[in-house]
Amino acid sequence: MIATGRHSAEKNQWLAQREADFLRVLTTSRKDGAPAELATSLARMIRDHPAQELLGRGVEPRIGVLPSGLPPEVVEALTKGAREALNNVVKYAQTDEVCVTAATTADGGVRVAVIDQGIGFDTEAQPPGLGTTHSIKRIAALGGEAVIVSAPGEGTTVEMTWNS
Amino acid sequence: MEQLINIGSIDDNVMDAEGRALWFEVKSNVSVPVTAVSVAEFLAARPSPRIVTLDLNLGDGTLPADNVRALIEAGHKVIIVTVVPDKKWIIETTEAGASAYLTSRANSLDKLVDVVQALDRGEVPTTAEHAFWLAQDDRPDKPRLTDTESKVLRLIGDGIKQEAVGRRLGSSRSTVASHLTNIRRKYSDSGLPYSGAADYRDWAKQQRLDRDRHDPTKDTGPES
Repeated sequence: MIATGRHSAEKNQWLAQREADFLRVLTTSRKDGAPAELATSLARMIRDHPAQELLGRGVEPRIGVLPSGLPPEVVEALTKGAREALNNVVKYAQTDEVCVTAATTADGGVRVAVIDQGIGFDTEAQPPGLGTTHSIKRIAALGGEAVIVSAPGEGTTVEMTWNS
Repeated sequence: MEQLINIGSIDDNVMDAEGRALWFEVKSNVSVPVTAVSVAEFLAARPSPRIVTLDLNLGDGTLPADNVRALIEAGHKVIIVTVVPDKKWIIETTEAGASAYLTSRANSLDKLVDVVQALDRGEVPTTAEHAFWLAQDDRPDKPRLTDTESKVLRLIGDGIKQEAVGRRLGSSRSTVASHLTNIRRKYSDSGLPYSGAADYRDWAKQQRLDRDRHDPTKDTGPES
């Protein structure tokens, strides 16, 4: 849906921003017209995530050229992992500064990270919740890895990597 | 009250440029007294603010790295601003000596103000986006970074603040800042050849940036 006259100027700008971010990712993430399944999947998830509306600045995507032909279950696990991480930013982080980055790693795998500038937490004292635990297990079962880096006052990074 | 900083803007998308200029005027201590659609027009204009934002793709056939060098030779500091980021040209303009790179994002204009203020203080800021795209550099002859420098680039590219990056690496904020300075120096000293005009034209064509646009310096109107 494109902005209509029903919205305030601020809301219109926000909607335009969200769509522009989405199109930008579709443009930058593919090389020579190759399908970019993971980038497209992440871009859709980011565009449609409630964090867009709940956080004042929206979610900033930074997505490079990603390998194509990734197994669909890997695309799904990484997308769901990132979605779960965004859910937690909305619930706990107390910030509206969050970005999702995705890039090809030096050894040809992928790295997807969700980074917020929020209050952070002590990862030793506070084990991850059910959803996050499930995300981490799903990625591990496919041979990938998910780690959470956080400290009080330092924001939180959820980092997922997968190598073929 | 912070002192007013005047900057120039070179962008062939007049609507984008005017939108940014208006936002600056209302929300910041940055003012844009000079706007131009080409580097030549900007260099001929007076006054001539030292700091200038430059659209990566001006649609007049000029090469991004050439534009940066022409501005630097004339004594300007260049902030590259793009709507659509492209690794190749971000890297080349960095090597050509551009001071900073940012994606033009309406909700992030405060970041552009931060960059302008840092430049005005004499710093060479590396934004998260800049670090992100430099970290994607996979050219075989790219500048050699140490493992720590590569790690710093990746973490800054994630948008993590310098203090937090320092704590993760067991070092201070100023150590992280000097890693970034060294990385930027390796790029500006790389001496790698720039792409030729043909490479740029091919790329622009692929991106459909080669559509005919009115060049106000050459003819009397789009119909002629």
